[in-house]
Amino acid sequence: MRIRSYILPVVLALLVHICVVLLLVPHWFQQKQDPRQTPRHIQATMIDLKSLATEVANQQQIAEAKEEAAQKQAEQARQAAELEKQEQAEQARQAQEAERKQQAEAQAQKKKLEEQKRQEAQKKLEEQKAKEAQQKKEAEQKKAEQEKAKAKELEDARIKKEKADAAAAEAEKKQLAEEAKKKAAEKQKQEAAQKAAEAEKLKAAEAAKKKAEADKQRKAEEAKRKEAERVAAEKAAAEAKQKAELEKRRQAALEKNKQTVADFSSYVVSEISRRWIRPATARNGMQATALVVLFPSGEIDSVEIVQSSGDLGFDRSAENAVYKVGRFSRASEIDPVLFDRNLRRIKVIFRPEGLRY
Amino acid sequence: MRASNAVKALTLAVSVAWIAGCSSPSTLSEDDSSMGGSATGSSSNTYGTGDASGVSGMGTDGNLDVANLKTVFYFDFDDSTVRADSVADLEAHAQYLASHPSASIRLEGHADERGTREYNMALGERRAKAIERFLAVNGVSGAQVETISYGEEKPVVLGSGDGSWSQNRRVELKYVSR
Amino acid sequence: MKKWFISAFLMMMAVTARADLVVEVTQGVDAPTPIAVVPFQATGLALNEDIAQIVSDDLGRSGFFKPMNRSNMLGTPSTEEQVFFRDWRVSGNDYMVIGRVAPAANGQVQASVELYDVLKERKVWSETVTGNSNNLRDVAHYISDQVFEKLTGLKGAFSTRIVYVTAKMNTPGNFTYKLQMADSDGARPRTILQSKEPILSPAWSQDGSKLAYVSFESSRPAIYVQELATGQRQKVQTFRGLNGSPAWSPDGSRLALVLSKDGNPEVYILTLATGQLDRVTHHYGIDTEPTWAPDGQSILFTSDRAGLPQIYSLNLPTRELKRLTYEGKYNSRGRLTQDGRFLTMVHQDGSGFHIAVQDLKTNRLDILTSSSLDESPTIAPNGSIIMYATKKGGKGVLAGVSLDGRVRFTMPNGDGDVREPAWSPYLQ
Repeated sequence: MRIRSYILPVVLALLVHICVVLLLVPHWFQQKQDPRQTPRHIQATMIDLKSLATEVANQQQIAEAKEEAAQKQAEQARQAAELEKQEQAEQARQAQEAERKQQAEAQAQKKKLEEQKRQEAQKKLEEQKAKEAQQKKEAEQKKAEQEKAKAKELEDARIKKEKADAAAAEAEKKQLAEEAKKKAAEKQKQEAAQKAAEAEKLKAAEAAKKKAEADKQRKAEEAKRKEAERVAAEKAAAEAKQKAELEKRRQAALEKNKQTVADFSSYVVSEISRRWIRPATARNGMQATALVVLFPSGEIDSVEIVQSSGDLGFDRSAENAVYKVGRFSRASEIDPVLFDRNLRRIKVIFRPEGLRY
Repeated sequence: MRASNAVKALTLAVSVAWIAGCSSPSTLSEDDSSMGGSATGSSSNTYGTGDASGVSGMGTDGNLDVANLKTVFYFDFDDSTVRADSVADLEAHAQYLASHPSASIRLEGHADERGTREYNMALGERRAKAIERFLAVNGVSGAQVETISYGEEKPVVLGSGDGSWSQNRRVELKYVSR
Repeated sequence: MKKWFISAFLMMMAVTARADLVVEVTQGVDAPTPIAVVPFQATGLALNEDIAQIVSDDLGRSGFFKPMNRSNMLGTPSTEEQVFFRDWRVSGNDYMVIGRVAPAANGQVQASVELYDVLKERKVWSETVTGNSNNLRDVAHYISDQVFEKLTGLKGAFSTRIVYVTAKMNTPGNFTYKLQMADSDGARPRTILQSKEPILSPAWSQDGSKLAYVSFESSRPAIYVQELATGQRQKVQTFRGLNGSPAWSPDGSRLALVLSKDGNPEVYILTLATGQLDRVTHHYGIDTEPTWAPDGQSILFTSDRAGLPQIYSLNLPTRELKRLTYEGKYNSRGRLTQDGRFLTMVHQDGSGFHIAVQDLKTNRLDILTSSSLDESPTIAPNGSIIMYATKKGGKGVLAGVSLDGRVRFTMPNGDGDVREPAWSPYLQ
């Protein structure tokens, strides 16, 4: 038994283990909890998308209700407008009619006057005609005697003409018979042509029927396709509306930020203007730009002229104006994220207006 | 000294009597009034009575006549035209000078204090030259006249206001030789 | 490794990609800059001049600064450690000057001066100036020049001189005239010429070594040129009639002057070395009071060719004549600033004769004084102040006004009536 040779290693092993334990114990028991520092500007809140959806739906309903109300108002307005238009139209018509009546009366009067004039003219004419009639009677007596003589001559001529006409009539009858024969031959030809044409029409009709059937099938398929597209479009529209709602919210938030930035800008300008002493060397057209860096508390980190006016006194006066403000206290009231992103660095352009020279 | 006074009175009476023999009654009375006055000779600031008849140039004792004349001539503001009230006496001076070629004068032009100094120098000269031209027209030779301007540098009246200014806007005529 | 660098760089870009807010400031207060010149500490010295007071007065007179009233100062620090900037800032000062005067070798005096920017709490300038007890005023004016230059970028004009004429009436019609020179603040006057006859129109040469003036001492007006260092003088050729209004050309070789030898007052140019005389105006009206433009290419003068005096400019090479003044019925005695932009003159309106300034760039005319008998404007070489002659209480005095009319002051009383000031150029 070599127990002796095992004792030493066992003891050593135990010692090692005890040492390890001793080393570890203080570490186990004295471990402190490091305080967790949440970075100040991370303010995260959990957003439940489902609740968002219902909110979106609510807002949609509100929006729709508003739209309906708006539409009703619009319709009322339209109706009112139309009524007004009708009234105006009627008034216009009445006015026109009144005018027409006036015009008609005026015309009637004119006509009366004209008729009177005509009657008077006619009377004059009749008198003249009476005179002329007498003259005519005397002329006609003379003419009658002359005409008797002419009549005898005319009768003789007439008899001769009748004989000539009879001969001509017989010639015409022969011509008519020949023309009738020609027409009969032509009719036969036309009937034959018509039959051929009818046969072709039947063929064309059959072909057309086939085409019509094919077209109908195509149209049916297209109709199906369009239905499918419409459904898909409606789905897309619904999704788009949701997105639009989210966009509106985002835009509202952006607008608010813009307003804050604008307010802070005019605050900065008024604070500096009150303290800017424009020097005697300032001239119209001079311009200097100072870069001002602020701490979130509004205190000034640095002021630096980044674009000189070319006049030392002017540049100094610009820097001094900013330093005299000391602290832009309203900065501390602004959301730190917005401040850090947009308002920490300010470029102040000094461009004097209204100087004498 | 009563004795010298008596002598003076005697000589005056004698000369009066002598002149009375040569001149018209009106001159006699005028001479009386002027001689009865001051003891010294010409007081250059006397104002003429405007009666020119007494200086019709006939008197041989012309010094006394000229001594009674005005020697300061005034002007309106920013103006160098000879004023009407200066004409009579200037004519008299001219007549004297024309008849005494050896006599010579100096015309000193002045301006009031308003406006700028060198421009007022020029104004003073303009006024002096206006008087010179007037005399020349009345027969005075250029060689007898010297002009100089003092601008606003030698006022007779210090102080501001129309009263002072009107007295300083002047040309002074001074006899260099008679 | 490369990818790591690239991504890190991109992240940094994203972090610094902020938008800069841009705003525009157009309005402010038009006023002189507030500065406090604290009384200097004089250790073991009895000084005959109050240096800090001279500096304070200099800066105030320039129209650029508003010095703090001594009675309002809460303390009088003389070293940087003693300065509590907040106190001086609260009392409204943008800058402050402190100093110490101590004896130096050879009986001299040493002034250690420091200029601070109160708002930035930073030193702008410091220097130790050595002087004698009898030229402490020059030490003070030197300090004023330095402070002025460090804060405005312009050269200070406090170490310059003025020349003027005094007239004292002894008896009616009997005057004593003196041509005198003094510091720019009127101190330490000394007589250059004394006469029983009038003296007028003193004019400095551009290098500050000579004076030209008109004197009646020979019973007629004549122009003299006097060398200041030696006192030697020379009478310029005189003519019949007027001899007046001498004006030095910028290069000092010619004098513009007025002669009436050809019938009426005209402007001529005399070349001093050769005696050659060039006639410049040809008009029967009065042409007088010439002055040269800074580039020497044109002469401005007063002329009443249009009826009453106005100021005209004649280009010498082309002989082109241009009228400059159109506002008001009487404008005369024009003088230009060194940059040729501003023309100061005597301008008459309903209330009298005033000093006015015309901006030749825009032709805008501004009347700077409200007194009614002003004349003889002369401009400081840095264009900051116009000094002129006026009447106060019936007595002739010199007064000054800043170019923008913000600040006015009167010079200390002289011996008799004071008139015809002429400001020197920068002197060595």
